[in-house]
Parts: sequence; C-alpha cells; structure tokens
Amino acid sequence: MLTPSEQNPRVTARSLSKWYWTESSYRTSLQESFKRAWRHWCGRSTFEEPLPTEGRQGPEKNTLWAVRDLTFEIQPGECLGVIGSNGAGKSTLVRLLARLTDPSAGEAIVQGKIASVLEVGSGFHPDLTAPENALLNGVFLGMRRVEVEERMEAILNFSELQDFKTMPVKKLSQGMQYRLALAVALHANADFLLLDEVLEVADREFENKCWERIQHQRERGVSFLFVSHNLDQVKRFCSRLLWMDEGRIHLQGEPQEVLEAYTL
Amino acid sequence: MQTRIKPQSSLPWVDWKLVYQYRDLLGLWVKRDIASKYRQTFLGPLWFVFHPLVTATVFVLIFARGLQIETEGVPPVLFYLTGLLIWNYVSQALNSTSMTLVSHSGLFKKVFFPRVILPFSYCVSSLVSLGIQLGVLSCFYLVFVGWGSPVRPTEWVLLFPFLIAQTLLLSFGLGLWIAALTVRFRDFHHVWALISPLWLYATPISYPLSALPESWHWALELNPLTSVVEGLRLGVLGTGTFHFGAWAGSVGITLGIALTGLLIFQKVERSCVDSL
Repeated sequence: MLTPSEQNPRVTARSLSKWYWTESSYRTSLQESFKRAWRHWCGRSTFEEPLPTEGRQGPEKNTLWAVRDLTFEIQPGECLGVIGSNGAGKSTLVRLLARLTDPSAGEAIVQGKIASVLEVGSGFHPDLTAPENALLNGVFLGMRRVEVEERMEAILNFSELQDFKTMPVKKLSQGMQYRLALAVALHANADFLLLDEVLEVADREFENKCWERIQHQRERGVSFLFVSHNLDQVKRFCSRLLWMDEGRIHLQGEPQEVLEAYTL
Repeated sequence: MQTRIKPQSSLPWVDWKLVYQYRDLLGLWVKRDIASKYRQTFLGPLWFVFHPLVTATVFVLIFARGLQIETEGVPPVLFYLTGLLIWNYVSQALNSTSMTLVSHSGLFKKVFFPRVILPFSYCVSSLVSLGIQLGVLSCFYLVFVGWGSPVRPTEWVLLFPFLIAQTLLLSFGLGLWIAALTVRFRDFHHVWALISPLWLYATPISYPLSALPESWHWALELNPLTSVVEGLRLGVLGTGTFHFGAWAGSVGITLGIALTGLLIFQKVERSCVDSL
C-alpha cells in the first residue's frame, strides 16, 4: 500500500549541476580564490572574458561542468539506469545524490532514506569478521545497529557466508567479500539505493539472486539508481533509462528505445 | 523524511539530527579502532603501560635527579605519571584525530556519513589507554602510600571526570583544527610536529607551576592544559596551583577551540572531497 506521501516522486532533480576545478591541486584553487577575491575587491569583474556557454567549460577559468542541468524524476519502486561513455558524468551524478559532494547549482529532493554503494567493501576492516563488518557497513548505509542485527541472518544467508562467520574477512575470497557487501546493501533499510557499477562482477547465479531481491524491494516502493556499462544487465534490471553525454541528459525513456538509440 | 540536496551554504554547521541518526557508528568505530590497534600485536595494551613508565623514568632522571626540580614534596614518579596521564592522552588522541581527513580519504569519497563522528570516536577510543595508565598510576600510588609516603587525595579529586571531559573536548577541537588545516596545506603536519613539543614544555608536566615565578603564571594559564594538569594533581596528590578563575578561563578557551574547530572542519570536510 502506498501512503499519499509515497505517491510523490522518490527523487526530484531540478537543473542539478556541478562544476569542478580542472587544476588538480587544491592549492591552485586556493590561489585562484585569493585572486578572485582580490579582483572582486578591486571592483573588476570576476570574468575577464566572456566564456563560451557551449561545451563543458565551467563558469570560470579552469573549471569544467561535470554534470549540467540534470532534470529528472524517479518514482517509488522505479529502477532508473544511467548509461553513457566514460566521463559522461554518471559518477558525479551518483556522488551528488549520495550526498558525497554538493551541487554547484540546482537541487534534488529525495523522499526517504538514501543509501549508496559506490565501491564494494568500503570501510571493511580486514581483521574483523563478516558479521562485524556487516554491522559496520550497515550502519554506514544509515541503519541502526539493531536493524542490522535483525537482518544479520538474512544477510549471511544471502551472501552464503553462514559457515564462515567467525573468520576475519581478510581470509575470505574477493568474491565472498563482494557478496557480503552487496548483501548488506540490498538488505538496507533505505528508500532510495544508489548502485554505481557494483553489480558488474556478479556471476550469473548471484546476479539472479540480486535481481530477485531488487524486484522484491521495488515492490515495496524502494527506488534504485543503477549505473552500469553492462547493457544486458541494464536491460534486465531497469524500468527506465537515462543516457548521459558530456554531462547532460541526452535521452531518457523506456529501456528499449533508449538502448536502441544508444547502440546505434 | 526528506533530504534536500543543494549547493553548500557558506557557513555549514553540523547536522546534529543526522549525527543522532548515525549515533551507532560512534561505538562501532571505537571498537574497530581498538581492534585494529590490538589484534595481532603481541603485547597489545601493554605498550600503554611501558610508554608512560619509560617517559616518567627519563623525567625522574633528568628533571628530578639531574636538574633537581622540586616536585612539591611528592615522590617524582607519581608527580610525572599524573601529568603524563593527561599529556599522553592528548598526544594520542591528536595523532589519530588530526589525520582523519587524510588517512580516510578513500572512505570519504565513497561512503556518506556525518564525518565529525570519526574524530570524536578517536578521542573516545584513546580513553582506553588513559584507563590503562590510570591503572599504572594507581599501582604506584598504593606502593608509595604503603611505604609511608604522605601523599593523599583531596576532595578536589571529584573534579577528575570534568577535567578528563575537558581534555577530551580540547583534543577533539584541536584535532578538528589540525585535520582541516592538514587537508588544506599538506605541510601543516610539519608545523604541528614543531608546535607539539613546545606545547609539552609550556604545560606543567615535567615541573610544577609553583616552580615558576608568580608573574609568569597568567601566561601559562592561557594554556588550557595547565589548569587541567594542576587541578588533577591537586586532587590526586594534594599539591598544585589551581583556582577556579584560571580554570573557568581554560574551560572557556577549550569551548572556543571546540566550536571553531567544528566550524572549520565542517567547512573543509564538504569541499575537500573534490580535491583529496
């Protein structure tokens, strides 16, 4: 049953934009900001020359739009896939919605709790056991400790680590650690889950399991944002696609039509 | 629950509601920190027994025997161990707190949580070694009392929890400052390596405040640790130059450092993710 507030979009992004300094060092940007302050103080314009509005050139010298004017919605229970070539701004979009960095302009409103997996096993401690790491990981995903403990059985079953739960995770294989991290994420008590290129290494069997779990979560109103380069997976998991190019939305719509245009 | 993702405000303040939601992280990170320190080290917490003992022995040899600095009639070992209790805590807490942003940059780029919980949990987990050192001090204390030494605790010992809380808050605030500055200017930790020993000598650890001319006292009492150390000695050993006026000032400075530390940390924490 959907409550009235659940009928609002899960995510509403309006002109979400982000620019970065292209200079790699922070000190340069500090210097740059002193210069700007100085110019401002002298009453001169910050912009020395009109900058092109086309392309990815940012609002100032040495800046670059990573994403620009992203306007879209994600409904409850929807799984939005984001596709596009490297450097199209997919990861920046994920980082913005995961609250890891702030947008430069625009805004996004998310109804409910956000959880994100940008890297499998972030924050794992090699000397702690699987349940201990699952606990820490679950809390990172915004759960209370007791909530993770309630789900521990399910998490260990899902990741098939019941027999290994007293071993420190450094003794577990990469695949096992990966399954553990994903199991925690898919059991998170979140309303909006961001998955950035984390399902690609799953084998067929585990992928099926994840698919079932995601379907189950979606039926309960949980929304997903799914970034992947594996188009078969995208087709299988997503109910709508967003194709990004050069930091902007190139096309969004039904998976079938977007994929057709994309692979053309 | 609704989250608004919007451009950074110019003066971001801690989102206490979010910190409260993530409160379980504090305990888990403390546990993780302790586990990572002790698992697979053979001597484990024993290091925290040796460390103050060695330092205190050196202090006894140099300051008490060599330079003949009067320790207000208290056995020198007890005198130094009491002061080192505070100093070792501060230096240990600052060590891990100040590196929070640099050493966990990978985590900060990938995982969202209220950052301020990590430095705070380091200040909490450092209490473990403080507890161990307190045990060492107690053993020596009992031995000396048993041998007929006249040291006795006074009613000021009731201040103990407050003094420790103040030390924790001071380390937290200062750690936030150093963490923020180290991210902005990577060479800041060299600056800190220079300041830190100077700070030790500006704190009455290896000497009593009363050994200095009275006209100097105000300058040393600007150092918030002075009142903490002297107050602790007055409570535990019965000697020390402690008055409420100086302590109030030191608490004020501590609160100031903690508040400004939170402000600058919050500011840097949001923007540094893009440049780490």
